[in-house]
Amino acid sequence: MNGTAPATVRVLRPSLRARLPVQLLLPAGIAAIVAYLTLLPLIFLLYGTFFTPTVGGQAGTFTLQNYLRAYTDRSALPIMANSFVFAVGTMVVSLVIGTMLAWITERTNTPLRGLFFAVSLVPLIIPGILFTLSWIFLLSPRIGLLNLWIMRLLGLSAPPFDIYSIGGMIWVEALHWSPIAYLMMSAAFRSMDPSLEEAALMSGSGLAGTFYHVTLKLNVPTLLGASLLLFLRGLETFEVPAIIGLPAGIHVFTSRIYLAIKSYPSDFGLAGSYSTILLVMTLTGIFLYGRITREASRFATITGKGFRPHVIDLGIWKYTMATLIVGYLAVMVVLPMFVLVWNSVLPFYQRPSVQALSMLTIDNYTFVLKLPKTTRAVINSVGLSMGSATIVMVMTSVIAWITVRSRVPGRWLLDNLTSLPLIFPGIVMGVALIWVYLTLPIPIYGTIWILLVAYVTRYLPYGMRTSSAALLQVHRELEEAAETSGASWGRTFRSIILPLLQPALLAGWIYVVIVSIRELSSSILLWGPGAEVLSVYIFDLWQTGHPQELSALGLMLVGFLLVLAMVLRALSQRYGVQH
Amino acid sequence: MRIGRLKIWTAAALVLVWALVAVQAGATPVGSSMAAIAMYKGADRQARLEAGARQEGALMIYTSMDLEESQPILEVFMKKYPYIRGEVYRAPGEDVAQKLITEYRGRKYLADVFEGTGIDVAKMIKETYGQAFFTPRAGAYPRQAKDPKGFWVATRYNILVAAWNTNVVSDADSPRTYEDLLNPRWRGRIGIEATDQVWLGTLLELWGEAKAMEFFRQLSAQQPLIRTGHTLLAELIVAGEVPMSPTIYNHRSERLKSRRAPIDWRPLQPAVAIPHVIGLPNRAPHPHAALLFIDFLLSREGQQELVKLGRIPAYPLVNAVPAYLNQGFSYKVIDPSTFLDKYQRYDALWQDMIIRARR
Amino acid sequence: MVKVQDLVKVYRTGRGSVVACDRVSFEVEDGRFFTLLGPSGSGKTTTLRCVAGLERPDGGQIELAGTVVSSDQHGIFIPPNRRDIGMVFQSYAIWPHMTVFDNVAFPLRAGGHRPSSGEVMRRVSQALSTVRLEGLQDRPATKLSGGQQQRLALARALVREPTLLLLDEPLSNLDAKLREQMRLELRQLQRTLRITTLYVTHDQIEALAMSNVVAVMHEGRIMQIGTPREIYERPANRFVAEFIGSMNLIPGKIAGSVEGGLWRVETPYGSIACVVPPDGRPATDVLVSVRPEDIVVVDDDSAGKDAWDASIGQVVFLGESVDCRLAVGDLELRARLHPSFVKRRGDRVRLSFRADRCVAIRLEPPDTETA
Repeated sequence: MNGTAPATVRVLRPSLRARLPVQLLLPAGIAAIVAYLTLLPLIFLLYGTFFTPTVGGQAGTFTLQNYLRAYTDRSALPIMANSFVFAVGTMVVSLVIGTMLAWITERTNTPLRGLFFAVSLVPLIIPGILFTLSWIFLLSPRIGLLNLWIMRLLGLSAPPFDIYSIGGMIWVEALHWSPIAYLMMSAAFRSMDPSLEEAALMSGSGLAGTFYHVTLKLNVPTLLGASLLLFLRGLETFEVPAIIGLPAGIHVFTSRIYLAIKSYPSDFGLAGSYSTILLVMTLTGIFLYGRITREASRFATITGKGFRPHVIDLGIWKYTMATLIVGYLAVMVVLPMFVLVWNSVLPFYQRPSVQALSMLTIDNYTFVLKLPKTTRAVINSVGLSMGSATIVMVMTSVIAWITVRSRVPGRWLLDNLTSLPLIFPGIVMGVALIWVYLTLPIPIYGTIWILLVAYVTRYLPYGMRTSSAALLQVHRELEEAAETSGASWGRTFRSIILPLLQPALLAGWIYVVIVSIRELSSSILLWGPGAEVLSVYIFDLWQTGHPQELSALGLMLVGFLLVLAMVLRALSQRYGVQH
Repeated sequence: MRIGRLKIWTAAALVLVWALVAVQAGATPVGSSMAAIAMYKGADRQARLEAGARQEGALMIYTSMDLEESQPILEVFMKKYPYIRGEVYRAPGEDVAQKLITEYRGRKYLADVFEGTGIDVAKMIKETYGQAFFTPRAGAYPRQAKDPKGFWVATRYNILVAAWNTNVVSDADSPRTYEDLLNPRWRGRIGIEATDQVWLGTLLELWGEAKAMEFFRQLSAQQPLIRTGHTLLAELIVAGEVPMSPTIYNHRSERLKSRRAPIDWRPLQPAVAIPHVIGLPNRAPHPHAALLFIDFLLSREGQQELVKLGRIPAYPLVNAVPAYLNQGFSYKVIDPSTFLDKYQRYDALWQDMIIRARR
Repeated sequence: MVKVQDLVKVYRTGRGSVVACDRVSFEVEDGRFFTLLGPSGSGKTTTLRCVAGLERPDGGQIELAGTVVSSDQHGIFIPPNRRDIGMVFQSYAIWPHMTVFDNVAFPLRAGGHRPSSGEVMRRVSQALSTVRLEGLQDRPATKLSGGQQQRLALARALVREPTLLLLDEPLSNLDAKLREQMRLELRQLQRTLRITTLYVTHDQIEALAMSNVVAVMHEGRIMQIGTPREIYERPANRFVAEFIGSMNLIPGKIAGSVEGGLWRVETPYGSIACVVPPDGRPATDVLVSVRPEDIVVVDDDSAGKDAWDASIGQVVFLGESVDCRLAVGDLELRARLHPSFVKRRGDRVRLSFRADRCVAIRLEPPDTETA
C-alpha cells in the first residue's frame, strides 16, 4: 500500500478505551486516593490552626495568634537550632552506619553476610523506649555498664561517655534508625551492575575511591531519599529528646508541639502552627530531592545490558572485614540486646553480680503471656502491619512510576502529596484523623480500619522514597522493550517493573511492617476494644511501672520480627535477579 | 464529558443522603432523661438500675487504670452482673480526656464512665460534658474525696513521696522534711519527674506564694535531675543513677521494695495526693450500667479489689495493704477544678524553675 | 512501508527548547534496510523512537504499512504496544530476572491473543536458532556474553515476525572484531527474512556496509538520502562530505565546462576537473571534495599538465595503506596511497585527481541548508 491519497490510507481512529489509556485513568485514580488520605488530615489541621482552643463548651474564636507565636517566638530559635543539629547528626551517622553495612553485605564476599542482615535490623525492631533505656544502662555517667567496664579496664577516673548530651542523643537515635539507611541502600546495592565498580578498580582506583566515586555517586537517589527520611524523622522524633535530651537540658522542636497538646486547655491550633514549620521543611526537602534526581537516566544502574551481579572479592581482607563487622555489631546491637535480656529476667534492674544471678526469674515472661487480650493484640498488630505494608508498597510503586516515568502533567504535585504525612508528628496525625472521621460519615472510627488508614497514611512517604529511588535506578529501556514487544502498561508493570523493584519493595515492606507494629502516638488515640494493638500494650506496660515485663515482651517481639525478616530475605534472594 | 458530570452530581447527592442518615443513627439519651436516671434517689433505685442495665447489656469504661488492674475489677463486676458485657479503653489520663472530649465534639458518644485522675476528669466536666449523679456510696466518703456539685467521687489515690536508693543513701541521710531537700548534700542528686506540675501547684496552694516561690527557687539551684516518666525515674533510682526523688508514687516504691529492690520511701508531710476519680459523661449510651459500675467501684467490695492490686483506696473504711501506705501521715488532696483554672501559671513556673534550671 | 512526513519533535528543557527533529521526511520501502546516520544530537534516535511510538511527535505524520500511526493534524497516536514492530535497544534491554526463553517468549505472551504453549515453544526455538542461540533457552539472561545478549535482543525483536524491525545502535557496545562479524550476520539475516529495517547508527562504516539506503542527519534535519555509494561519492553538502570518511575540501570557483560532463574549478592552488551539482554555473563559489584515495601521487611528470606541485608532510604506514599528508602552499591535503609508497617527509611530488570522483559542493553561507 504505497498510495498517498488519504482515501487509500487507513486512518485508525483509536477506540474510547485507547483514548483514555491506563496512563490517564490510573494517575487520576491514585491521585484521588492519595489526596484523600493526605490532604484531608492536613486541611482539618490547618483549619484548626486559625482557632483558639475550645474551652468549657465555648468554641474557639478565629485568631492568627497561633502563627504569630509559632513563627516569631524568638526563644524558639535555640530550640530550632538544637532540633536541626540533632536531625542532621542523626541523618549523617545513620547513613554512614547503614551504608557501610549495606555495602559489606551486598557488594563484597565478606563471610556471614546473611547473619549481618538480620542483626542489622534489630535496632529498629526494639521498641524505642527499651532501646533508649538499654543505652542509658550502658552509657549513663553514673551507672553505665560500658563506662564502668572501660574505666576498670583502662584505670580511668572519670567515665568516658555521658549519654546525657547531644552526642548521646544523636548516637542512640542514629543507631535506632540506621536500619532504614541499611534497608534502602542494600536494596539499591543489590541491583547494581558490578562491572561499574570493577571498571573503577581496574583503572587503579582503590577500594575507598571506587566506593566513593562509583558506588555512592550512582546511588545518589537512594542516598538522598534516605537522607530526607532520616532528617525528617530526626525532626519529628519524641522519645529520645524526652528521655535523654530533657535531662541534659537540650530542648527540641517536637517538645513544643507535645507541650501544646498536653497542656490545658489542649492547644491544637498552636501545635498545628508549629507543624506547618515542619511542612515547609518537608516541602523544601522534597523539592531539592526532585531537582537533584531530575535527570533520571544518570542514575540508571539496573540496565538491560545484562549485568552479572556478583560481589567484589576482598581477598584476604574479607576476614578482617568480618571481624570488624562482628566487633561493630557486638557493640552496637548485641550490647543493648544483652541489657534487654538481662533486664527481662530480673525482678528489678541491678548490675550483673552474683547476687543478681540468684534472682533470675521468668515471671516477667509469664506475666506478659497472661495479659488479657494479648492474642487479639498480636493478631491485630500483625494483620495491620502486613496489610498496611502491602497497601503502601503497591500504591507507592504505582505512584513512583507516575512521578518518575510518566509525562502526566502535575505529577510533581502527586509526589508532594505522597510525602505530606511526613510533616505530622504521630500525635498530631492521630488527632487530625479522629477529627476527619468524626466529621465524615464514614463509620470507621473506633474500629481497626481507622488504624489501617492511619498507618497507610503515615508510612506512605517511606514507601514512596524507597519506590521512587528504586525506580530511578531501573533503566527506562527495560520498560520500553516491553512496550515495543506488545505489552500493555499493566503487563509491563506486573512482569517487568515489579520484579525488578522487588528488592526495594521488599525492603520497604519489611520497614513498614516493623515500624507500624511499633507505631504508638497515633495508635494510642485511635485504638479501641476490638482494635487492640501491641504497641499500646507496650506503652501501657511502660507507663504503669513494668519495665522488666516490658523487656520480656520486647524480646519476644524482636524474635518474631527477626524471623520474619530473614524468611523474607531468603525468599527475595530466591525469586529475584539471579546471582 | 456530560456523562461524567452527571455521575459526580449523583454521587454527591448519595453521599449527602447517607450523611443525613448516619447522623440520625446512634441516638443517645440526652438532657433531662439522663439527669433523671443519674439523680434518681428513690428506694427502688437498685432495681431500676438493674432493669435498665439488663436492657443495655454493655458497658464501656474509659480509664487510665493499668490494664492488669482494670481487667480483674471488670471481671468481678461482670460476675456480679453477668448480663453486662464490659470493655475497657486504656490510655494515659490526659490522652483519655483528649479522646473523650474530641469524640463529644464530633458528636460521637461511646464512653459510659471515665475513671482517671481528678484533673483529667475535671477537664471533661469543664467542657460541660459531665453529668452530676447520685450514688448512695458517696455518703461514706470524706468531703475532700468528692465533688461538691456531685460530678465525681474519688476511687483511689496516688501519693507522691520521697524515695531513695538504699545502697547509695543511708537512712540517716534520707530526707524527712521538705526543707531537707534544700540541703547542699543533695546538689545534683535529686531526681524530679518532668511533668509533675501538680506537685508544684499543690505546694503553692498549701504554703502560699512567698514561701513556695522561695522553696522552689532554692530547689532550682539544687540542679535537679529531670527524668521523663515515673516508671523511668523509679527504675533509675533502683539502678542507682538517681539517688533520690521527692516525686515518686509510694505504691510503686512499695511494690519494688517488696521485690527486695534497694529502695525505700518516706512521705514528706504534708504529702501531695492525687486522687483518681470516677465521672459520668452526660451522653453515656448505657447510663444504667454505668451507674451500677460507679456504685460497685465505690463500694467496699470494689475498693477491696483495688487494695488487692496494691492500690491506695479512697474509701476510708477500707485499709490499704500495707496500711502505712495511707495511714500515719498527713496528705493534701488537690482540688482538680482549681488546679485546672491555674494550670497555665503552674506550668509556666514549672518550666521556668524546674525544667530550665541552670546547670 | 514506512512513511515519515514532516516529523517535528521539540524537547523543552529548563534552559529553553531543543528541536530534536526538524521536519524530517523519508520513506522506507518494503524489505529494505534503511539507516539513519549522524553524530550524537542529530536527531536520529529521536526519529527512530517516534517511529516506534516511544516518543510522541509534535508535528508531522508517520505511516506504517499503510496505517497512520501518528498524526498531529488528525490527532492520532497509536501507542508502541499496538504497532507491529520489533525493536533492539542500544543497551539490549534484556530482562535480567528472566531466562533466555522467557525473554524471547515475552512478546508472544504479552500480546492480545496468546498462542498455545506449544506454539510459543516452536516460535521461540525458531527465533533462537535464527540468531544462533539455540540450546541456551534455560540459561538466566544475565549469564550470557555481550555478543550473545545482543543476539538475544534480536531474537526477541523478531519472534513476533513484525513488519518493521527497528535497531538503535545495537552494535556500539561490541568489540571491533565482533562488530564486524555481527554486521555481516545482521545484514544476511535481514536479507533472508526480507524484513523492513530501520537502523540508527553513528558509525559510517556500519551504515555503508549494511544499508540499502542511508539518510545522513545533522541537528534534526536530513542532510542527504541516498545509497551508500551516492552518499560517499556524491555528497550533497559540506556536512555529508566531511562526515562520511575523510575528505579533502578545496575552495574554488566554477570556471567552465570540459568534456565528459565535467567542469573545471579554479582554486588558488591550481585547477581541478570535477563533477558539479546540476544547477552549477560559472563563477559560483564551491568546495571541491576529494577523497584521499582519489589523489594520485607521482614524482615525475606523468601526471599531466594540470597536476599540482606538493611537498610531502607526515607519512604514516598503516599496513594496508599509507596515510600521507601533502602540502600545496598553505593547503594541507590528505591522501591514502598504496602501502608500497616509500616517499619521505620533505620530498617534492606532483598530484593529480581522479576527476570523475571529485565533487564540487555549493559553498553554503553559514545558516542555509541543502536538502
